[in-house]
This record gives sequence, structure tokens and C-alpha cells, in this order.
Amino acid sequence: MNRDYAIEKQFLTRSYDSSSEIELLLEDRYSITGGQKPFMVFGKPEKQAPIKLEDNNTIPITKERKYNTRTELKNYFQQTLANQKRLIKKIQAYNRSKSEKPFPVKKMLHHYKIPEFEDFIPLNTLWQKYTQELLFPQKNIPPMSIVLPRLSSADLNGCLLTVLKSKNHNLVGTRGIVVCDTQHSFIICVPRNEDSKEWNENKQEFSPLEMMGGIRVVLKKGSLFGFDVVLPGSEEECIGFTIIGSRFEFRTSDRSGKKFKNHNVDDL
Amino acid sequence: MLYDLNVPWPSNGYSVPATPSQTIGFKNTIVTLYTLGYRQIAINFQLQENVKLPINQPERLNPIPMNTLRDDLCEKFPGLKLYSRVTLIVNDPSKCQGLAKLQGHFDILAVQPTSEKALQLCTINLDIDLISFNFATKLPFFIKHKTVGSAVDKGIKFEICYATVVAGYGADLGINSQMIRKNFFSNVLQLIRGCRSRGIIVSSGATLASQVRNSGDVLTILKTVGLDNSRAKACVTLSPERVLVNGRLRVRSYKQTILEGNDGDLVGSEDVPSKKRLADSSSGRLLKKARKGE
Repeated sequence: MNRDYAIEKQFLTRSYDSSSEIELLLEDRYSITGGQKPFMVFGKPEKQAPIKLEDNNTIPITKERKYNTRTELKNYFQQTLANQKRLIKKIQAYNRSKSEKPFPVKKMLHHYKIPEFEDFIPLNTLWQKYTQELLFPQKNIPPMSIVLPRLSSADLNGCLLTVLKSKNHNLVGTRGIVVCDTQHSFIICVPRNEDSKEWNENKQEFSPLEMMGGIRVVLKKGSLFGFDVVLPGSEEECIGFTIIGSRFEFRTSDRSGKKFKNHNVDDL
Repeated sequence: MLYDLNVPWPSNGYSVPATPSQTIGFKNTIVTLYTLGYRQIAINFQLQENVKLPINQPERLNPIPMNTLRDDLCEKFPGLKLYSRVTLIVNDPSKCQGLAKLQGHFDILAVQPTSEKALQLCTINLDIDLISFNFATKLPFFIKHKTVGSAVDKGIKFEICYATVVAGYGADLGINSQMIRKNFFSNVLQLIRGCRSRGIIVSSGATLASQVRNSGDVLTILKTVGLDNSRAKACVTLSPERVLVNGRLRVRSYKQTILEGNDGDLVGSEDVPSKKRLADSSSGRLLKKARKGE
């Protein structure tokens, strides 16, 4: 009987890395002179150290246990922001040296692993589709009294936001695609150079920050954010909306079922 | 920018429309205010609590022809912005159910309580922007700091109209001008004491153009009743702006979270067209570019 033990091999690949080892094992299993044991060992028997309990009889929190998506995301943002700071310093030093050649921004972005606005454009396209389905299910525009509540509980990841007003005047005009919507801030990925701000469209020289792009953390408190929703069926027309950041300080999951209330407007 | 949130509309009630001569007098008041530097003006429509609202005809709920007025005045006087306001005179708190129905049709909702119970109700239950009093007569109740303070914390402001003291005659013609002035000042002092100099706005309430005063005169009055410089100035600039923002957000936004239009203006005078071209705004152009580039 000539068999290639396809099924057995398939199983064994999950336990053993090298194919030669598997073949050796199978040959040993089925040959007349071999062991001819009626069982097969899957997986390497690994010796696991017994978990050391802490004094108060609880399992200690190891590094692996701390590992989750939220902290990873947080670490990623922290690292990227630190990298951005480094890159800005580098650009400033380069500008001081008065070199003729322009700074190789593109290469450095890759080197420091700074995300680019263009990477998130598909996310924005997805968001536009989602919003269109959410707001205009019948293809016509319902009255604003229906649209606004829906939008207030909508997901904003992927939305192209612009800071219209802010207590921090440096932030005004910043725009980008929302990467993460946290309780107190929007983390947005901003475009570079002439797209970076509304009034930069015809400018020639840009600050290091504008040259770099990357991500920005924009506090919700005390800011107004504007965004556009493209109407379904037409590529040209859109409806603009404004988010009042001070009233939007909730986590996304809390916001979806939130009953909003009017408050004193002294802080707006 | 100076604000005047009370220019009474000539007719009180739905049955009698304003006559042309009244309308001209009313427009003269607005023009006078404009020349004195007031740019944001609210037209006040006063309602008694027992007036039946034409609920079946929603377009008649607001009798002020805002669009024609804006067409007439705003083009000739650049920078002028007109808003509508309704003032409901409340005596018995159980009767004022109509306020909720008026909400979408006026920019500012105000209440004039005539009893202490009504004032308490306004501060606790009603969703309003402004509380005004008739200062020409002696107030029938004592203004408590507790009620007034809770209202101020909620964002409700208190209004002082100076037209009665300027004109010397008010809603009640029975009393003479001296009594009116005496009442006015004692009432204003009581209000200022009640709300600890916070949350006060000053508006004209002028039915005639001659009753309007410029900001300097207003500030002088406020200083005589004991407000310091910055607080007096806030009465004609900052506080009225907040009243307007509060009122406009009620109409334009969903519970102060999201509103339509993204020109960065919370107040926004006219109703903005909901649709616009992508290429008109800068962020729209970026969006278009992004959609093309993908």
C-alpha cells in the first residue's frame, strides 16, 4: 500500500515545524519494523512551570496578562508622538544648517513610522458610506430634527474633522481624519504641506509641524469641530455639521445610548 | 458687539396684526439702535398666558415677519442681525403649557413671572433663556437669592428694561413717572442683590425711537445701581450673547451636541441652506481630492 499520509501530515503540521521530522515519525509509525504504537503524540510535551501564587493567593499580573488592544493602541500613539517630536527637532536642526537641498521628509516619515494622511483615506470613504446609510436610508434628506440625533450617536472614526474654533488658537484650522475617538480628545491624522490648513493652500513655505503631518491629539473641551457629509448619489453636494466639543466628552460606547441634556452655555 | 434683546413688536396677540404706521415706528427704533452701535437685535413678541395659540397653523405661531424685516433692514444696514423672541407672562404656573409648542418658532424664549410661584417654576421646570420683570410697578414678591441663584447656575439670565424709566410711563398708566422711577431703582437693586451681580442683561424695551439710549448711558445707569465696570459691560455684551447662543442652540442643535452648518458660528442669524457645494469650502476641497485620489 502506497500512501502519502496526507491527513496525518496535515494534523502533524500543527504540532511539528519541520516536514522531515513528520515524515520520520510517520515512517516509524507505519513501518513493520517500527514501534507500531497504536497512538501518536501530537505536540511537544512542554514542561510548564507551575504558576507561582502571590502571598495573598492571587495569580500575579504578568506582562502577557497586561497585553491588550487598548494599551497597545495607547503605546502606539505615545510612541508615534514621541517620534514626531524627534523628527521635528531634526527638521529644525536641518533648517538651521541652511542646506540647499530640501529635507527628505518622505524618507524620514518612513524611518520614524509616522502614519500619513493618505493611508486613512479609505477609512474616510468607508465612513462616508456608513454615514450616508445612517442618515439617508431612503435616499432623500429627512428633516434635521431626525438627522441630528442620529448623528450625535454615530461613530466618528474616519470622519474628516476641522477645528473651527478653539480656546487654543494654535489648533484652529487643524484638520484630519479621526483615528481614535476617546473620551476627552479626538486623535486625528493630519495631511501635510498645502493641505494642512485652510489658509495654507497657496503658501510656499511650511513650518516643521506642517511638513510632517502625522497624528495630533485635539482636546474636545472648548473646541468646535466641523465636518461634511457627502449626499448620496451626487459627488458634488454635501451638508455641513458642527460638533460642540465641550458637550461631546463621552466615550464612544457611552455616547451611543446617551440621553443628552441642555446645559449652561457659559463655557461655549 | 452690543446687543439689545428687547424691541417690542407692536402687536400683542394673534388676532390683531401690526398696522403700517406701527411697523414704521418699530423700524425707526431698530434703525436708531443701529446708529447707536447695537448690531444684534431681538424682536420681542409678548404673550399673555391665557392666549390661545394657533397650534393648527404652525406658520402663524410666530406673527413677526422675520424674513421681510431682514430683507428690508439687513441689506441697508450691514452687520445688523435680527432675532425673534417671545415673552410669556406667567401668573399661574399650571397654565403655561404653550411654551413647549413655541420652542421651534422663536430664537429666544423668555418668561415674565408675576408671582413668586411662577418665578420658582421658571427656574426649575421650564427650558427658557431669559426671565424679565415688569420693573415699573412694585414687585409683588421678594426676590430670593436661592431661586435666582439656581436660575443663574442653569444659564438663565435676568433682564432689566430701561425704557420705562426713560419714558416715565410704563404698562400701567395709572402711576406717575416719579413712582415708576422709584420702583425701577428699588426693583433693580433687589434683583442685583438677589443674583449677586451675576447673570443680568440690559435691554431697551423701547417702543419709541426716542427711548433708546447708547451704551455709555446704560453703563452710567448700571454704575449708579452699584455694578462695577466689568460687570456692567458684561450686561450689554457677554451675557446677552450667551442668551442668544443658548436660544439659537435650542433651535439649531440636538441638545447642544451637533448642529447643522459648519461655519464656526454658534448663533448664525438666518437659516443656512442645508446643501452646499464641496468645492466651496476648503475642507470640502480636501475631501474631494481625497475621494478622487483613492
